[in-house]
Amino acid sequence: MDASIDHAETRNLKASLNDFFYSKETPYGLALVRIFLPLILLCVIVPRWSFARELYSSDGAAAPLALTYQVMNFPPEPSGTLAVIMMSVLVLSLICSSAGWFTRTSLTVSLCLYTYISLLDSLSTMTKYSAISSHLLLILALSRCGSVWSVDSWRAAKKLRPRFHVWPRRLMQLLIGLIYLGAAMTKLHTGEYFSSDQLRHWLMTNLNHHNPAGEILSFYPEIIIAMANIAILWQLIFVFVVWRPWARFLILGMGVFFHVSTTPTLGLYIFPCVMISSYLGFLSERDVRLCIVGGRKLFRRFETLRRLRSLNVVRSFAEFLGRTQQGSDVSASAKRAAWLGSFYAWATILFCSAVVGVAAEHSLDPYKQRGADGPLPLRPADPRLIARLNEPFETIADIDLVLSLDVGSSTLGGVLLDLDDEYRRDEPFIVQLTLVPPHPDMWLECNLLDPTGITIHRAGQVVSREQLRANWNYQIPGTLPVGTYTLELRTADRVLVTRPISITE
Amino acid sequence: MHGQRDGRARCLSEGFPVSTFRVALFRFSLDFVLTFSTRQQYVPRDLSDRVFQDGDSGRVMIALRCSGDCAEGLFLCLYVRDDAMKRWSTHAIIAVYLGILTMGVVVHAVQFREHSHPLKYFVIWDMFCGWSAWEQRTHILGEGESGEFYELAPGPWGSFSAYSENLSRQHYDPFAEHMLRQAQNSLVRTSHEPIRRILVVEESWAKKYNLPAHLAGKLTPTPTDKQSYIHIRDIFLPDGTSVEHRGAWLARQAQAALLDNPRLEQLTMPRFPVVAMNRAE
Repeated sequence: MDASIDHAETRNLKASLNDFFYSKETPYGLALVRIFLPLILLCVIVPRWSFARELYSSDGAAAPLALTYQVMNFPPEPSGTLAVIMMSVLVLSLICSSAGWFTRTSLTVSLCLYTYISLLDSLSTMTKYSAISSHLLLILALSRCGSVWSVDSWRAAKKLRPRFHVWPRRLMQLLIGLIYLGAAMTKLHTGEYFSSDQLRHWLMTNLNHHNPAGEILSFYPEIIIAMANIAILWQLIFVFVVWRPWARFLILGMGVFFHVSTTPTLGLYIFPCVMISSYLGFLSERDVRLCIVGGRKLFRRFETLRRLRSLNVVRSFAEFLGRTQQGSDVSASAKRAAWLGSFYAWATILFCSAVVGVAAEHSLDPYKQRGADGPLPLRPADPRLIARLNEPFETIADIDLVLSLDVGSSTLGGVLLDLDDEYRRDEPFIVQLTLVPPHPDMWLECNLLDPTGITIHRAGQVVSREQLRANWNYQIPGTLPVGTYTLELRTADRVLVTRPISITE
Repeated sequence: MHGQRDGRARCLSEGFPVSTFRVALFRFSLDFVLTFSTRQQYVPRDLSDRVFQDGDSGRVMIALRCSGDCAEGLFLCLYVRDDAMKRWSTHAIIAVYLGILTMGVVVHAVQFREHSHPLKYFVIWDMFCGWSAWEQRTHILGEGESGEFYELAPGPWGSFSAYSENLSRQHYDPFAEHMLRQAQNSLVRTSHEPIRRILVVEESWAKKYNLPAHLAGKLTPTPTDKQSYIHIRDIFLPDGTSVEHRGAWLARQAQAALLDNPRLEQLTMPRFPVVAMNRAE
């Protein structure tokens, strides 16, 4: 009996796995990823093209990622000209990938070149979005994403929608889920993530693009803590829940919100675009067909768009690309000739891009060595910086160790929740000091001064080097007159910060 | 299967190259793979050298041209268990790929040999793993024989700002592993007096000074002037010889904070590094 149940369960599991990986569909979702991802990567590659010699070649200052891992000459550095050829071909292959022209070949070329050049520059090219993009390009190259909405499918002029196994889309979905799981592990290893310290300082950094919303958000650690906990919970459950129909759009919607919000708060642009484009891999054939039906309804409402549809402006381009003529009476030799013509056009364009790229880069003279006066002279260094070079090593000033001095009445995750500077008599409040690492063991006092500047309460404590926060609990006695008092944070020998506080009836 | 007509065999190949490739592949594998059989079957002449799917069994077969004594329209067909082979190769791709991704998550979770090979960067998802309360900039300077100092990064031909509006790439090298290379590249591509030394200089300031004044005032109402700290991290000769390595400013500050303890300082000071020697030598 038990054996038969086990057998049935095994068969069910096998059937479920079979359905999960090998059911068939038209790969609209992957086609959308194929269209958008290369366009995003073009935004990465095109600005770097004119610096290819400097960033990726032995004629410049390549910064291989492998050096961080103590591995030498991985991958081998190309010469300057070869680096320019690689970048030029990469630009064209990304365009071809997006258009779906010799899709699988273009994607394979893009994958190899993009990964190669990323590995050569860990300072300004290789980031985690590069690694994710390489994975996505690999999966797209394995898939049949070029069978719809592509030049290839248009050239083949098939009347029936092609259907293929769904496993490449499943791999993409699992990749995204495992990325989030790995990212959650990182957060679990970082204690300061939960106390808002890590994120608060990320929001204040100027290493990325302008992030005005981040600077404002850094004043609301309670929101940061709440969002941090929601984010890690979301990352942990993503791979387990996203398959449920009821949860899919909720989970993905949260992901879109999370990634979009990193632009104004952290100054990130490419990373959210890569992640959101990868979400298109979650769209099933049914989802896309629903969108198409909705789009067609919208389309019919606009007369201008309908007219545009009737124009056949791309007929000559179709012939150039070697589109197969409609109908089943086309001979095999005609098909063969069309395919070869298209292939030659594709290969010629890639070859021309390499040649034109090398010529253009040569004329640009990236190091400006062929100017009238020869190579450029070095720029003199900033004299203010030079004047400070002989300064002895000094420890951090106490005032620079203080991030903030806040007053509130309750805490969340150890952080003050409700900041205020006005309290009634007999109402308790907390004064919280936030320090930045690294700092030594410190003796700090938080004193209360009356409106005339006389110290009426003194409270000190040792703040050990592991602590990033110190709290002082206050309760103003009812006999104290109302007025504006001052909280004074000081070390044994100097005042660091003062903050006014109003005591009311 | 014998005498099967055109209508029952469906051509699977779409174009010349695919068909040719598969024909070549199957011809090659004829001697090695025993998963198919050969039969004679009628197929139209213009579909020769094509891949077919058998109308009844669904198995994939391939029609090859006969040698001279075959009847017209009769071809030698190879029946290949193509679908099964394809399925197993797909199983292998899925298993290997998911296995590698899972391995990345696991080694990261248990922190086991996370940095043993550069390719692990592609399977370990440690985004935003580090943080610092300090904003840092790196200056790469060359000291000429005249005593004049020059800026070696970015080069005078211009800089590339990857992730910000105006920050060149040397600011994204927290481990200072690629500074020397950038300096040497600038020296090779420019005209200059003989250079005596290359200096890698760190400039650091607390991130609270990044905030605009109206926001900084909310942190600490007492106004404070921005103070930055200058620290020479490395000194090289132009040929790359390391003259002095003083370490990162943050690491030195952390050590200074730890040693700001008379008892610990007293215990530490006499303990110089010792290299054990063999007494017998």
